[in-house]
Amino acid sequence: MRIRVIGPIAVLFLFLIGWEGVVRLWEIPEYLVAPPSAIFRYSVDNLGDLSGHFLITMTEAAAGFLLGSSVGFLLAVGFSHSRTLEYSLYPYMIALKAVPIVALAPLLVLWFGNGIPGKVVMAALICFFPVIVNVAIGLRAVDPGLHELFRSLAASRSQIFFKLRLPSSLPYLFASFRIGSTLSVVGAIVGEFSGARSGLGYLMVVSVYQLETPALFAGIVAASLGGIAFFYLIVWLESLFVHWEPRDTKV
Amino acid sequence: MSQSEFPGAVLAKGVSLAFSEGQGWLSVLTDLDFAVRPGEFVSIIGPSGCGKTSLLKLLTGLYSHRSDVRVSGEVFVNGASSTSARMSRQIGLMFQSPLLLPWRTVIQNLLLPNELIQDSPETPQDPTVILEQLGLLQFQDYFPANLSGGMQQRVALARLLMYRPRILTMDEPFGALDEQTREGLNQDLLELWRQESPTVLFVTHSLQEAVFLSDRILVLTDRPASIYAEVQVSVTRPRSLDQKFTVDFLNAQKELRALVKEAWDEQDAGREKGVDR
Repeated sequence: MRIRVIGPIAVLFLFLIGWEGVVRLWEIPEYLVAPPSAIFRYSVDNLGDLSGHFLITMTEAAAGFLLGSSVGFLLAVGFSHSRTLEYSLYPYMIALKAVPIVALAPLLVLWFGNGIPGKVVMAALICFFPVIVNVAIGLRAVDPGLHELFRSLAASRSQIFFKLRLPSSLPYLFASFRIGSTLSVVGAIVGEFSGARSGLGYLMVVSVYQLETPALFAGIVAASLGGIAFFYLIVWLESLFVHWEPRDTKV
Repeated sequence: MSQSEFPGAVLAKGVSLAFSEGQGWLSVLTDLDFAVRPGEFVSIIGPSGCGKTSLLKLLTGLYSHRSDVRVSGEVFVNGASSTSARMSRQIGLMFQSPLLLPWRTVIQNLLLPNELIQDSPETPQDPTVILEQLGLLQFQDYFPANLSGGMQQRVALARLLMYRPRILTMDEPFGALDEQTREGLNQDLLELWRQESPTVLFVTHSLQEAVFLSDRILVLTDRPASIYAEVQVSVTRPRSLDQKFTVDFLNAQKELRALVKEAWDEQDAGREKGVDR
């Protein structure tokens, strides 16, 4: 059991030592590959600056996640109530899923400028599709036997929705939240690449121009940690609400 | 006036049922005539896939307003249509699988029927009394996934009792359980039936279970199902598990087995049918 904790930590340390060693041994210039010690030093020296950018990116990601997920969820609920709506819109939802949303980033700068709103929209667009597709499937993936049970108990349509369809779809909803949590950070950073005055994406672009590679690496590490934290926050929330195996786990 | 007007009675007159299949219709039940008295325990036996489940769903009103199902003939449940019996919850269906909501604990599952009542004058049952009766009290806060199959089916039975339908339709409720568990649940069911005397329609594959539980047994033919024979079970009540080895019981079972064999041989000679002895 202890090997599960000690193992990964040992690997991480070996990796960092190896990295540091290779950079020093072959005298690789810092502007190409920054050694862990330089990244660490930069992070400590610029902690205030770095955490400022981090907070902005994570705020954009979280706001985009909430916006995209809410709209996706409401539309999926609409689909489950109206066949007309579903048949008319669902094929486009599937088709749009294949569009590389990040390609829209320059357009969003044009429309929303250099500030935070454009990045929120970027993150929202990226989270929207997994949620709408998954929830639409989840709301339909109700055990037909349970549906008959509810009918045999003379349940109304709204009771079937709130007491059966909605809870049944929770595993699907959280599966899409997990995807969305990491994607929203990607969306925010890509948005910042295209034009911003703050955020981790901005920090990275600027440090490339200035050949300040430790800052670039620090930005990458911070973005990764943010994405991981967001992901595990969702996993934790899921464990509070979903503790059963869905009928159909393949999404 | 007629039997159909007694509360708790079930009457089928010339009932046929077909499902839409491709271009045409697949006939499942054909020209069924039977009457079940209030408080009677009737078992239904027939080959796998002959339409027993469809018959119970039809009686429970689950096929109303469906364009892919064609029903002819007349059904009276509790003196009215099957749909109105369902809407007034005078008929309750227990399924092959327990169908518990996995996100609810045992006691929350029991409370589901109460929550779904919209405007009923009946006073809600106390779930703990029913849990006690079925030996489930210490499991009330368990989630279904942590219960054995037998326990889950016991919870499903308890849930049915929460709204006390006059008529119980049961679709092989204990079919997936081991013999020991099944016997225990059979005894519980008989005890409940003795106390509350609901009308029971009980589909099973086990001839022994049918003889043990029923007043009367309907033997169905292969699909499209019609009634081949009706058998009165003369084994004395109240019944105990020891009675399964008495001459009366074994004779009744033997007689039923011969009849079932006859019914199924007649329809398609040569094809083997699996029947529990």
